[in-house]
Amino acid sequence: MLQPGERITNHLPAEAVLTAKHVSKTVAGPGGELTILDCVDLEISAGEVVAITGPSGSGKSTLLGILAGLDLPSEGAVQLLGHALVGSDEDERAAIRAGKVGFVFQSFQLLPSFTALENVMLPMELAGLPNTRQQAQDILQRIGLMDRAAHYPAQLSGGEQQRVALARAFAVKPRILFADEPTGNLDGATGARVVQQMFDLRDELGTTLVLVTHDAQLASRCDKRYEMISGRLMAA
Amino acid sequence: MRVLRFVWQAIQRDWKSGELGVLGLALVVAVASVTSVGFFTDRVSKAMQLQASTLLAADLLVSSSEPIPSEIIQKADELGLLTAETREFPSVIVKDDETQLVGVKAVSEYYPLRGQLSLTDQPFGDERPAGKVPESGNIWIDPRLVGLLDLTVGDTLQLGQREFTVSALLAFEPDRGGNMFSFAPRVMFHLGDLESTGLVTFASRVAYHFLLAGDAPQLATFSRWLEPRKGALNVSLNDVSNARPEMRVALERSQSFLGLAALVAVILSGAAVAVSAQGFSTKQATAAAVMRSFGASRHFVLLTVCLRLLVIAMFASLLGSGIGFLVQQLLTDMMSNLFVMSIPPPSLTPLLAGLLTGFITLVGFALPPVVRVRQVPVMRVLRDDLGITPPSAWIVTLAVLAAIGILMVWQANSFVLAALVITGSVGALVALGITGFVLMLLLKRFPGSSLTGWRFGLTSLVRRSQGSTLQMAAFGLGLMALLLLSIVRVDVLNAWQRELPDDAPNVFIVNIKPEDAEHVKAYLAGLGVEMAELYPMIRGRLVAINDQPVAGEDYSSDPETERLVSREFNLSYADKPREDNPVIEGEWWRGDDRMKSLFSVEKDIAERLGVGLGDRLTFRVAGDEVSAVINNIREVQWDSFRVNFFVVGTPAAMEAYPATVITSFYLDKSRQGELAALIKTFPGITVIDVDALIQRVKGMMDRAASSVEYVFLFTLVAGIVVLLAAVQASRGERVKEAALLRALGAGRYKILQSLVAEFALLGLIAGLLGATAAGGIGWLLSDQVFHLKYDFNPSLWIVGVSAGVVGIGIAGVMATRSVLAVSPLQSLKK
Ligand SMILES: Nc1ncnc2c1ncn2[C@@H]1O[C@H](COP(=O)(O)OP(=O)(O)OP(=O)(O)O)[C@@H](O)[C@H]1O
Ligand SMILES: [Mg+2]
Repeated sequence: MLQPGERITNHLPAEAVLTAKHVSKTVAGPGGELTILDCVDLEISAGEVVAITGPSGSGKSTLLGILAGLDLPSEGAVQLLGHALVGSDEDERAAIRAGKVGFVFQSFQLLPSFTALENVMLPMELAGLPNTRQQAQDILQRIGLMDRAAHYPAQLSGGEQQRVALARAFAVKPRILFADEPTGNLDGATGARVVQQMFDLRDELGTTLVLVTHDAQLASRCDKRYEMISGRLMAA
Repeated sequence: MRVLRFVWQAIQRDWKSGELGVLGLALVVAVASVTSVGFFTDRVSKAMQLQASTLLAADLLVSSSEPIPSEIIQKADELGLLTAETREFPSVIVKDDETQLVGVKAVSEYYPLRGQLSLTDQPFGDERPAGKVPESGNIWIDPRLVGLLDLTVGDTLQLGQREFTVSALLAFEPDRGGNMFSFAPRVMFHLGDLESTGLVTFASRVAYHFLLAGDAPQLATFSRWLEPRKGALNVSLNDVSNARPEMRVALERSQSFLGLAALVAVILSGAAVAVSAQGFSTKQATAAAVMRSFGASRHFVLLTVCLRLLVIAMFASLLGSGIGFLVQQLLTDMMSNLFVMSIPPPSLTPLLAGLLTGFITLVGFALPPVVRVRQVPVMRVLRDDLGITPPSAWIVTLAVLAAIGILMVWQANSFVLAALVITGSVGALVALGITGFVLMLLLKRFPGSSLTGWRFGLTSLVRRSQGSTLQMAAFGLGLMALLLLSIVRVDVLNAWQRELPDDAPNVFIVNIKPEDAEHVKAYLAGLGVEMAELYPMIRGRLVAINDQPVAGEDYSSDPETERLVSREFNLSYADKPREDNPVIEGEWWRGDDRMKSLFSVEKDIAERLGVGLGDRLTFRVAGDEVSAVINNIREVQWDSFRVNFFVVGTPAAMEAYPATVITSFYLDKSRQGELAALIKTFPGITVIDVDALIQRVKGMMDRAASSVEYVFLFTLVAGIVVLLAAVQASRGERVKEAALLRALGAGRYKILQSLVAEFALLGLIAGLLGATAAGGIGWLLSDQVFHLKYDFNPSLWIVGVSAGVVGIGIAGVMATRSVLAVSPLQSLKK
């Protein structure tokens, strides 16, 4: 099977890993058409760290989902790791993500019947990586949750759940990591540690980070900052 | 490989978390009830078949008017079947210069192969099993001959050129079937003595019978072998199904009942599986979206979910079959004293059926909702409201129908019954759904919604209207099943048993001369028999339909019709219609019609002959031809043991022909000895005691009724599981909601109030719907399948509604009560 991304690494080392052109998203609402994203353009190169800020309900999560290929835009084109997302079907998009794209959801989305460790192992298993248990343990160790490895999400605090979600996103050593409010539930010290780990990932593996955040301090550390206002993306 | 490992880990997780608990339980119950019902009905119907075989004294009977061809006997030997031979012919016995027409039956060793001969020493005296055939030189005689010829045990009598010693009276002969009204008193002796009587000459009218018994496969091989050769060998082949109509009806009805029980259990368990699969697939939706956001393909997600279900199905089926087998063993132990003979061991087919049931139930009922995980939008990870689209109603219906259809083949063996149950259930389900939906709409207009207390309970039903409708349907279905089993079953069984009341006629008197009829009636009145009805009886052979000559051979494709047409019919005539013979087509003759030549024909014989209203039948009666047009079709309850006729004419059509009079009535066995005086006074009459036959039919009914009772217990369990699954399905959501309300400051009492109101209302509606559906199905079943009169039982609705309100109210509150005990914080975290 085609290994997406390989070719990109070889040929375009510091080229754009993610581009969005004229991306719009409209949904049918109770009061007619609702425009969530309005002609968004974006280009992110490998190893870049990008922050997206903006008020609640402005469309940040929607954009993140579309950039990661979880959904398709109503108009426009997205290219992720060298693959056009528009025009490819669900499974093709999933195959592009497998093992290369990490995602931290705003509401964590840990699987309730999986332990913390198993939640972290899941994307590695799906990508068919070896030694998943050992690696998952290492990651949990690094984010300081090794003692909660056997616990179920319901038994963890909100911040702990968020860290497990982060660990799960790191697990496959993704080429690009999307994180929706990665520090939203964390206290200053823990938040700083998590942020450091994301930057370490970038430094070690060249991972591209796309972060949605309200945290001005975090945003200020990023290479590029955008602000989302009512569906329009502006450089900030 | 990766998939398998993943699935294996998922199953371990399922096991730990109890994720698939309800689904697995529903499957175990489905399989357990189907296998136990299957094993049990398999054994019971084998036993009943055996019991019914006694009517032929064999499993198969080959008959001919010529000696049985040797190749038939050879074939039976080859197949290792048990065989015996009998020959029957009319003759005359002589005792002290008095003669009497008798029906002679010469029997070989091993006769009867099925059932028992009973002997006695004096008429109506104590009976004992014979255990063997008469020894050479001995003869067993009909107790009626004691009165007719002054014969007793130890006397000698002359038959042809041979003298026999009466060694016993023959009280019961299992295969004394045939035409009940025409047979002469029986004498029976050993086949080996036949030659020496010199009675079987070239011209004599002998019926040759060859009896066979053995295992089903060999019997089937034999039938298959003989069937195409019947014509050439000039023999006919009979099995139990075309034995006495009374017994056939009883056997068919009991099998239908058992089949019904099994079918209802299947459908109920299926519903339970469907409801829990619904919950399972909703839980899987999020997991599927998360896995796909990490790059899993739809195929992978679907495959792993399906494999998980498959493994669960395998374990549940094995466990269920095991339980089913144990329960079945228990049941047969309980039942075994009801059967005369030991119950044969079960075949292994039900085990296979049980395993397959697990898979089919799962595929039919659980797969449609579960495969939807394939369609979960990945965006669900960002927005919880993006649910899974419900499966197409067509696909669900088709899958469920296909599943039931396949299961039905094993369970019901009756397409009419299965079709009825399926239509009934689907119809009931649709009606339940529609009514639930309409009620939801009405409730929506319920004024003054409030956020706590009982009004909150009612309005929360509306807020969850889709889920509530589904639950209402599930509850309604469960209640329907329970009612069907607890009330309708009893009603239908009672209606059946009512058909053969304790005072059903047990004595027939035939060959009464018309001029003696009033005297006989007066004599019977003296014995306390008031109701004796007298009917004229004329014997005639059917010679033409619509002036086209007919003969038995014209119906060679249907042996029974062939037999009927080649023999003489018992005809009668009457002015007034009989209440127990409802006219179903046309009208009974009134006014001027009574002066015309018209026939009223029994429904089954009309179907067999392929005739209907307006067709002309011609009978040869005493050398004349009687011809009349069919004016109406009647229904006859053959198992009522009352005098009935296939064809009844207007008096104008038939009065002129020589008739005898026939009557039937109930007379307590202890008084039947007094009939001897009647026989002395009117030597021409024949008294036939059908007590033994009635007892056997009754015995079969009772046995069928008890086995049905036991079998229905499973269906009951399945119904309860459906209710459980339905309560369980909404539990999570309700617990969370109630916890939230508590967190927002609602008191426990208010929450309890709203839970009670919600479940009680659900129960009320479900009870009403379930009762109506149960009544409808009960009526359909009685009317269409069992051909019984069904009276709607008002307690159906009373019980339905109270069971709904109380049962579902309590069950629902019990299932969700944890929210009142646990702190809201804990409930919310889950
Ligand atoms: N499928 C949908 N149907 C209707 N409305 C939608 C849909 N998806 C998103 N929206 C709406 O689009 C808007 C943007 O949503 P989005 O989740 O992207 O906001 P956000 O910027 O991430 O906000 P927050 O900071 O609160 O997370 C919201 O008003 C949301 O209600
Ligand atoms: Mg958001």
